[in-house]
Amino acid sequence: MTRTEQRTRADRSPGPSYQDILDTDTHEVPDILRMKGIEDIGPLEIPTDWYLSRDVYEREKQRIWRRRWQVACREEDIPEVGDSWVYDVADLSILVVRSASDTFKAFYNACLHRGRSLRDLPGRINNIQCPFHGFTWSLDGAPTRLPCDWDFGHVDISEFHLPEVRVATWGGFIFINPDPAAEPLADFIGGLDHQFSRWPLEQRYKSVHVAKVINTNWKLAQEAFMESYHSITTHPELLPSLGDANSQYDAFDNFSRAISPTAFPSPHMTRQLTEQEILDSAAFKWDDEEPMLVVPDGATARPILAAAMREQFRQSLGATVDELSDAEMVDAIYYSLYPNLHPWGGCSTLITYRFRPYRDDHQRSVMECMYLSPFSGTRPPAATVHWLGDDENWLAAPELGLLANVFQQDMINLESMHKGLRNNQRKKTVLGRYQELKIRHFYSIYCRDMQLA
Amino acid sequence: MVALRHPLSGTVYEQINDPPGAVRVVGKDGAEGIFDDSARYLSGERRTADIGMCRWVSNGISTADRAAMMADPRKGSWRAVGEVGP
Repeated sequence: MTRTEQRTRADRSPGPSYQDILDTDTHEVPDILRMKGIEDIGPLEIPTDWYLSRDVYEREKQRIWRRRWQVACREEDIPEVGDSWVYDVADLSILVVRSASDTFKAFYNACLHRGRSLRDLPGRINNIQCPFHGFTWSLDGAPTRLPCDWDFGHVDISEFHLPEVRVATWGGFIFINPDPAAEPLADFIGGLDHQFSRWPLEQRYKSVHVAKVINTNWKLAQEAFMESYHSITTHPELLPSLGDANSQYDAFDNFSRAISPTAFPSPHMTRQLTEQEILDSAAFKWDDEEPMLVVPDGATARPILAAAMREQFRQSLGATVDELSDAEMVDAIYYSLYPNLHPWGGCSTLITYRFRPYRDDHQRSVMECMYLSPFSGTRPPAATVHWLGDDENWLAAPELGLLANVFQQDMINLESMHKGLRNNQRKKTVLGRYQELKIRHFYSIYCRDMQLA
Repeated sequence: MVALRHPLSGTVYEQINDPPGAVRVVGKDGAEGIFDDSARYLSGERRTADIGMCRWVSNGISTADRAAMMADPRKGSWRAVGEVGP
């Protein structure tokens, strides 16, 4: 295999496939990376109305946010009995409580008296008490106090249990689903659990959590993080070390996956790079700096970078790092679980994105980035959410490291997408058949949920 | 110095921060221009620049600063190999 060999399929990029690149791994490659999913599913064109229309958004509220499993928070966000979390999506607000050491409850966040939200912020509580008049429930939702109960003789207290929302956990995430008839979470997760069997997310802790309100539709925002195709223009600095067009895309039941090889040059590169140039790019070296890592004569960049990453994570992952493939150490393995969770796989610190409508506005969304880090010994406390203000950009979150600057590049497009769609005279966007497969897969489920053609 | 050559065009992007956030862009023909992080033209003979590169270089931090940033173990993050050697 050479990096410049010609394509073997007319509908794929020139150069080696991701599976060809795996053949060069210095360690045994796990089966999950050899696994292939569906390569062609979902619409190739998306009506702009699906992003711009208030009517479509209203249907999403009923058909997606009130029917689908979605992540409310991490288990370590509410580590002690009485810890609570408020999950807001569109006009829905859910109060999640750790009601016992190993039990989570989720309730509609509304007082049964006058309807005030029961909690506005996360925090420790002894019981669930409305701040307005003091109606109170136990942590498992049973009514315990009705101030001036002599004035509510017309109320049947047995009917005043807080209405519950289904709750379940996977990978250390707490999921909620308002639909009592929904399939069990385990069935919804399906094969994604096997995909993460080597990288169990429940054994990670949330070391970073940054959130920002974006002036664009939630689907537009997340689509910018579902393909590597945009790297050639939005992130050109990555090209010497990111096999963007060599990426593999797969669709499965309720989730999809992309894998982009790292420390491997893009097929778009027009000149032959040295292995040192590739490694320098992967390590984000500026032009006049000394190399941080050196490629010995006859060696290639990928295993050198993977070896460095193994050493970086040896303390937290232990000797198992020696069994991990180069691919697991360095490649971008990024999943999307319908409708809005995007956990990365692999063995270093893992990124997880979540996108959701902001308040009840279909033209604004919340973009969140969490880092799930390995640890040894006692589980560290979870990072609190760092909300960026309207006048702050991602660089105001230095805890994101280099990713803050990558997001600044992505922001070039995000809000301009919404503006541009209003002026799109075709009234529809068009997707690449393969490189935008994850987006197509999302819409294959979306169309079913929304009963759209 | 924070500077990087565009991988495809060979044009050099250099952070100069005068004015703050400015990037000097020098093409293969030697023509030079100054741009902000949105590739907005500020001065010079060269009038065009790549917005992705302008943003990356304008907001770029030196390796020394990056190593300090990554010293926090919580941020053992996304390809933070700056402080690691084989």
